[in-house]
Amino acid sequence: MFGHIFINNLKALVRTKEVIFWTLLYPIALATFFFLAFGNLASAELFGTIDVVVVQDAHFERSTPLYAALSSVSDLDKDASENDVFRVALADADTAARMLDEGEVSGIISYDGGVRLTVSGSGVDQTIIKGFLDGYLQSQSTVSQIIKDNPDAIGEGLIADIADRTGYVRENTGGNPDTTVIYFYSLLAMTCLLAATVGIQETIKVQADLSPLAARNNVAPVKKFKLFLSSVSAAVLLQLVIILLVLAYVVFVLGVDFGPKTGLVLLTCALGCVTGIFFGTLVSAAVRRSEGIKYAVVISLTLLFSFLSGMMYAEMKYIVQQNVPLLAYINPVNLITDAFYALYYYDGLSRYLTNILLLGCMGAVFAALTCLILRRQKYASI
Amino acid sequence: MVVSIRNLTKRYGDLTALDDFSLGIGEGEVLGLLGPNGSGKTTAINCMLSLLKFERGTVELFGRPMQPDAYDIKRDIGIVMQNVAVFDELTVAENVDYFCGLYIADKRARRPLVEEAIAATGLSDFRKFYPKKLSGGLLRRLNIACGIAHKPKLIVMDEPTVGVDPQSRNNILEGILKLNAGGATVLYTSHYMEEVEQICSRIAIMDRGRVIALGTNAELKNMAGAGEKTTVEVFSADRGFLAGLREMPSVISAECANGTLLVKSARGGNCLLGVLDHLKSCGVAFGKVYSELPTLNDVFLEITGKNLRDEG
Repeated sequence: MFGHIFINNLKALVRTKEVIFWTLLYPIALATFFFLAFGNLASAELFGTIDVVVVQDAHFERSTPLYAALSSVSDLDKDASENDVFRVALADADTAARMLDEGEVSGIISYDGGVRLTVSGSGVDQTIIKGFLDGYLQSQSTVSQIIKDNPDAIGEGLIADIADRTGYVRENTGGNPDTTVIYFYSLLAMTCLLAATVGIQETIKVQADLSPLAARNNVAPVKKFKLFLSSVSAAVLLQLVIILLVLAYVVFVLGVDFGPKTGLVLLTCALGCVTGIFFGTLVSAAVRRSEGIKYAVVISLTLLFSFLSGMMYAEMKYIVQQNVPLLAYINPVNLITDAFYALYYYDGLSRYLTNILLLGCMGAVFAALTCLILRRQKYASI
Repeated sequence: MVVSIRNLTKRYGDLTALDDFSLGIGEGEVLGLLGPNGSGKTTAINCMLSLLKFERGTVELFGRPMQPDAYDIKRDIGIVMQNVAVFDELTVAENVDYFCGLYIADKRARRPLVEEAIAATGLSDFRKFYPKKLSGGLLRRLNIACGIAHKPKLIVMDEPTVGVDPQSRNNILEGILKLNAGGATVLYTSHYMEEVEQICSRIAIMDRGRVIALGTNAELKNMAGAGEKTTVEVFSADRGFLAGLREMPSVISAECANGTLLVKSARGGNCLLGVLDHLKSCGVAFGKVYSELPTLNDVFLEITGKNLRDEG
């Protein structure tokens, strides 16, 4: 009996155009839109090695500090590698000017007693070169001042400390962070929550006051719980397949990198879908109103949850977490997105596990309450 | 008794939908529940099937109390809803199989029953059609096929012919008689008195949540004080002939309006020839003449003072 109801409900769901559109085609269309809109964002944020030319004349060769500073961010004696900030060419003044005119370099660094920068336009590369030279001049000025005021400091290694450009930021992620991934995480969280609409649909099939189909189901010699469980199981299976298809599309077709924790991403998607479906079933069981009102409640709550979890205004997530932390923990959308964030930004799993545990408990509570409300429900009016 | 409903009271707020409603249906009967829209027919059915809560009364089906979890009773019931209750996304054959499958788990045992129901409702040529592709009449037939495929002992049909074409209506009514001949007890609700007269062995007339008359077609018609009605198209502005008509022994009333003369005779009386002789003797020209026996509407009119159809 379970299999009979399950298979027929699955067939009906697969053939429901609205379900397929909102839970499969719509997220895929949105993912494609995100890909087209944000595809170049990540590459734009990556800085490549900047081509500069240094005028090699008598002044430059006398300027040991400048040579040393350039050597610290590039390899003047070899070809530049990926890690070098600058790819430095040495040329005479005329050749340097020609290289700048032809766009071979972003700027000319020359030294005639003081450091000079010549650029042909403004942009990120030019700003970086200027930033580097400003830093160099500041350091040089600091050293001059120290020598003047406290010559003993030279012997104590202070100059070496100032010249040291060691980074103090430790990389804490599995790779180079790609900010566009967050859009796709949000998209997946939304897809999970959209499963609530299928949850409503399946619950309505056993609520005799809402559809003739449900009335007929209620007259049949089948326990309402079995009827509900088998049709919801069909919805869960369909939603799991759909979220896998969306994920496969995003990963394999759009080429979005979800990092190495694919298994946990899948687990989050699956749990998100199940929780989404039971969120819909609970609203449908608890709100004893028409089908339209049930959908309105689910969509309104989903939008509110999404807003509070920062989907429309990123700061909101932090505002809620700082001021009303409890709200963050009872918001399923926030738990799903935060689980994705935790997977992406943290090496450890404690934050992820907290989210996933809360999400699982929430889904279980939604399911239990739904069953409790639907159990032996008789209606005042049909 | 297959159905025994006693003193059922159901209220929607201040509105009393069923007011001390009682009804009994014997095995093998086709009982027609006739009443205008809003008289409480569907509410009575929903209470009977434990779909609706009610304030007072008892419902017994097959001699046992009906409850939401009385699955052994439900197994023997077939329901044809007023509104079509099928899956839009399943084909005709899949729909019939699905609903039959809620009663009969064994697929092999189910298959011939599904085929029989499809054939009986004339849907064999449409078995792979989706409901949205069916006409209104075919959709109603599918609704019936889904309710009867498991061969229930009690079939409850709530206005199954609303909005269907005459051909489908005849097909449906013939089908109901066949089901009854096969041993099924049928509760049939309608506000079409012709249908009820055509197929029902007994008729209960409802108004304002109560059964106001119950009996066979002939028994109910005998309740009406009036007998045959004679209607004559007259071409005379002079109404002097009416006095003579009213003095005739079997005539209980004679009225003429808009060129139509309506003469009602007493129960068992027949005044057609007398009326025509009188009109001739008065020199009144007349056209179309027809005479009819009292209808269930006349019974309803006499008891409630209103028409069945006007309410519906």
